Amino acid sequence: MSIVIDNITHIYHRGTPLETVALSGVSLVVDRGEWVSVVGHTGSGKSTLAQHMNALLLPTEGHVSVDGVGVEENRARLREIRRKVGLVFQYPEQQIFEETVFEEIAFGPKNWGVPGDEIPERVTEALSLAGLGETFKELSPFHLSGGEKRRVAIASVLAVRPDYLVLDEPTAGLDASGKRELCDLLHGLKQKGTGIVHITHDLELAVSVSDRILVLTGGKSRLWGTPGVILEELTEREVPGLVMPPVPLFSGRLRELGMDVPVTWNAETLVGAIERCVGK
Amino acid sequence: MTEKVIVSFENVSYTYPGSGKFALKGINLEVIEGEWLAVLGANGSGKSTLARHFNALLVPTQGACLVGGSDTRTVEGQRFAREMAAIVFQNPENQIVAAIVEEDVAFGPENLGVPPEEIKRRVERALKETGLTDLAGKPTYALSGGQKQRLAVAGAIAMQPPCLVLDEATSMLDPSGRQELQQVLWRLHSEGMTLVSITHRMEEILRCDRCVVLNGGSIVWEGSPLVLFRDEDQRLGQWGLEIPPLVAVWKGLVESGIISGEAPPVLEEMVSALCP
Amino acid sequence: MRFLNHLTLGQYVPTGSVVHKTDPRAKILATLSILTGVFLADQWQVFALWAAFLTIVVVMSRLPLSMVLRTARPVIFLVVFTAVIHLLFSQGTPIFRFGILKVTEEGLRMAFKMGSRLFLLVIFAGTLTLTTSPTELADGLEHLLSPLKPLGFPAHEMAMMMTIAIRFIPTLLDETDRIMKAQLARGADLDSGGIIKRLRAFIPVLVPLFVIVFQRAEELAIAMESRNYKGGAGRTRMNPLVWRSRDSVAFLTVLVVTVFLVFLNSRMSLV
Repeated sequence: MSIVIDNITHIYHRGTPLETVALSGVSLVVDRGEWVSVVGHTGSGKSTLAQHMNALLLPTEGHVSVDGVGVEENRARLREIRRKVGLVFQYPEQQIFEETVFEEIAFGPKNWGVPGDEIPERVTEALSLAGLGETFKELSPFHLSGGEKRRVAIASVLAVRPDYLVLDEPTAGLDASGKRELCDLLHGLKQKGTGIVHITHDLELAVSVSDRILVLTGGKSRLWGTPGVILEELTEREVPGLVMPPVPLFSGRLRELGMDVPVTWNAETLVGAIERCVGK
Repeated sequence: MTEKVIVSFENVSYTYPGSGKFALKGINLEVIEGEWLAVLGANGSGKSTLARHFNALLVPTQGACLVGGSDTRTVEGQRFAREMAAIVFQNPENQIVAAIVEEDVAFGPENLGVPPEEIKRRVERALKETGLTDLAGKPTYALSGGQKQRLAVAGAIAMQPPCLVLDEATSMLDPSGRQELQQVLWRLHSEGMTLVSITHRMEEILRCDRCVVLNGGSIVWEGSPLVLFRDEDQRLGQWGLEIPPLVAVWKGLVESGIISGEAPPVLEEMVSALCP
Repeated sequence: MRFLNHLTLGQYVPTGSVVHKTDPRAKILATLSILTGVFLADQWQVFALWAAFLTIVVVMSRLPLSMVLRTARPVIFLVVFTAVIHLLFSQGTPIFRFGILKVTEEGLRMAFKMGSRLFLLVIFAGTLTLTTSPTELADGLEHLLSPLKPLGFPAHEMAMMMTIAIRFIPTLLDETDRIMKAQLARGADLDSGGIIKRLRAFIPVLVPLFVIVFQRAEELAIAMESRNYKGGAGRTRMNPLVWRSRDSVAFLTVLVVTVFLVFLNSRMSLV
């Protein structure tokens, strides 16, 4: 059971002067119960990739399948794929339109034909997953704080009980605690068996939370593997367009200057290694 | 050299109309000419409300805000404050007015009634300062996030304000966009411009001269960023702030006496302290 | 990713040609004159002469002809549709029949006339926007309409609104695209059912879009205020419009061509 992206290319406005190759030859597998991060700069094609995962975009070349159902040859089943793969867009709070939080969260389940008597249960479940209390149900979503709105928007996707959850820059604009809470929420979902695809430009965050990482720059896949593999690869070679986080950059610089420290992302490890080197 | 105060908050409180809650409470703060002041705070701490007081977009409900010595509650003071302090806002998209890069930079000076030849000189200089000279004739929608935010800075400095306020200006940018903007700010600061960075990202205040922490609308801490990093890690958590990883390394090294803690926790300085 | 960008009004393509350098006021007045001329034309020879004139202008503007022709793409359906309607439903002498459909001589003539007229109108207007930046256009309009200011006509405000609209069209198109996709991802059914059902189905797109537009408008207003915008009074311009003698020549040339072609057309209609 997985989302399989096999060697896809996506070209916008094909055959016009505005033709842009957004993705070329990208492959990726996401299993249920696994957290995969797609890391890239703005314009790297990572949002385009996200939209392939639930068939909002179809590849120009290559193949996408969800739990064995290919999007190309099963066009009639695209809705089924969209139900399985929940997609949370960047700034999802901007998609809010209903008068109450309850209605907002019920929108998805209703669209997918969940029976009416089951909906209240779905809403309560989604609210609690998103860390919001029952009291929110009757409030107007427009009067909530920015962080609460985002939770409502995420809850509205969770209420469909997707098997996979794709989130495009979900931590954008959140402060340190907001970010941590969101990552905890996603981690909980992952442990219950949801496949998480986390699209982000924050390599440091990705390394600390993901099982596997795809590094995407300029529409091409550059690195693919566990955080450990990614770390090793990144110390071996620079990836153009990818800004290295300061700690590994710092440890790498020290190594170049002849200090015997490992290239690491972990502050404590690095401090320990430097202490040993200078003999303290 | 005598220190010249260019913005001064005197016991400023602010309540949004109809909210009944203080967004700012008893703020006392002075901004000294030529310094780089950081205002740190989590979401909802009142930082954006504070930012908007700098050029009289908001005026205090209680207390007074003096920009260049003139009270922003007066008509004269408001006009003066707009010329003294320019703000770069969070969303780059919502502060670009014109469809072409150089025309957008010209917008501020045009509003100030600057003569055409002088506008051209200012636009050229502002584009150069922000590294956008090659994009002068490009449509603004085609710019990247980092470029858009540098354009907003260019539009602000073309008005030649003595003080530039950045209200969460990097929060919608990716790491390279942030780097681009930080480099521009560093250059402006070294040329003598007064900067006020309002942010929740602590890695952006490493080079600041002084910082204040806002929490619940009040200033809860004031001092140098180095002291903040060194001594206040317990309370930073309570304020909803987080020590960046490189600062954690710096702190570890300072605590074990390997580096002195006099130099800021920026990469180049740390490298040269360790490998002289 | 940016979709739909090709729909923007701001399709200005600078080449630095004489046409580009001509004062926008002259170009707006000239375009109005041309549009009137084309609108009054109904003889194929006159259409041909207008097309020849268009070609001259395009050559002078140093824009590729294909690019200028592409400006008609959004309305090509309308042009073809109008032509086909006239072709099939005009009364008169049939040329040939195709089942119940018949093509008449009059229909053919009307189809050609309406098609050419629409096509030329659009292409001439397109040439104006290709050779004139949105700001120049707005400035030009502001100046041309400023005599109406004493009557309370908001010339400056109109121009500023136009500038902002042009600036925000690509952004809002992106936004619409993103929200439509977000709602599709939540299972919204945006494209089935009758007209009422479809309109209702668009509520989840329209409400967020309105919210975004208002929020943007508010933030933009604050940013403009922060940049010392206080309306048109006391404002200077980086590139103030200067009417040179070559602008008078350009406008007068177009005016003479128009008067000549309108005259020619009316003479030919009489024959």
